[in-house]
Amino acid sequence: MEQFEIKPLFDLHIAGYDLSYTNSALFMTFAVIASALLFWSATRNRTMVPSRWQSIAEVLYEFNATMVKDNIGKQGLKYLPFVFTLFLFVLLGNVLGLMPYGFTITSHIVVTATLAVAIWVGATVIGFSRHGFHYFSLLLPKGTPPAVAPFLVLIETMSYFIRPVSLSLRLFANMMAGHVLLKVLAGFIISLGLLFGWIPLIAVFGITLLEIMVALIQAYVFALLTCIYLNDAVNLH
Amino acid sequence: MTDREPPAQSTPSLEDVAARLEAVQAREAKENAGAERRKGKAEGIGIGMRIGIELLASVLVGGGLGVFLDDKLETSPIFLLAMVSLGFTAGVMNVLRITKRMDVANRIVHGDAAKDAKTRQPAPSADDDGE
Repeated sequence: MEQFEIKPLFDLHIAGYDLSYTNSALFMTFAVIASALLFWSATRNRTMVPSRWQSIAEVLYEFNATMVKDNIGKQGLKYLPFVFTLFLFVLLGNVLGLMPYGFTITSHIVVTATLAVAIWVGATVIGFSRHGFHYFSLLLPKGTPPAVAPFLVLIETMSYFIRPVSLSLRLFANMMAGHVLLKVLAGFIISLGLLFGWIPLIAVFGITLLEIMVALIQAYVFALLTCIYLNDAVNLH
Repeated sequence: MTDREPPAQSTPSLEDVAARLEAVQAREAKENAGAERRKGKAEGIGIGMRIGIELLASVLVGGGLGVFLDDKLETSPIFLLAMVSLGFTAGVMNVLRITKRMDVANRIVHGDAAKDAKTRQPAPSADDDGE
């Protein structure tokens, strides 16, 4: 579909690799600029009684800080910048994609998988550096009867390797499905004409609202799962 | 001569203050309860979205791994079958873990303040309540 196509804006080939600046990269840049701009304007003149922009930034910050504290605990607050950045990037990626002529960076599994694998590898490295080989005890839940232990270790290993897949697949599938659904229903508006076209129009209106909600919730879920994985790495059991 | 003497008229009586404070606290509690409910709802939607994909992803990973191993070891279809069932088991266990976690969160939202304080202090982890 046209809206998911990657178009190079200007070509750049280095050492045989295609490093062209694409529309996907453009919207990633937009997301970064938008989040930087939001926090720049929010913190430019801080007041005791917050202005509109400042309260947006404060609500976002507190939302993330509570999430990190609830899931990892006080010692997890040093990962707050990472989680918060991730949340903002995914959120703005989702929301900017809903704008007309927008490109949804999170509707490509390459993007979400890169984020998810980076998180997963990072959490694993943190886990091993904090607990050493003791981190392997994550694979054997407490109080397992020895008879089923080997089997359970296999299952837990499997579920550890599922993490990056489900993390990336969830965000990608939700964003992709939403946009395809909108596209299909919007196509019905034209083909049904003036007489019946307003029925899918109402549906598109409703689904657009739903998509805004999905964009927010998926960003939240992505950040939440990052917290949960980091919690396993930081606190083990 | 000071202005410090309590002007008898404008000083509200203690009962008055207490009544007003109570009213404000009740209103605050009601608003907080609403916010808590809304938060619970948003979390519920989030959890719902997690569960479906969790099952799908686990079977996909199992299948992919099985096909890969079969291809390398030429043991088709032993590893495929084993890995798909293993993956599905892992997926179901992950779903059980998510719902168990949700149960704990629900208990915290709906009263049980004392228990709340006890369970909440050490950050509730995903795996603690696993088994």
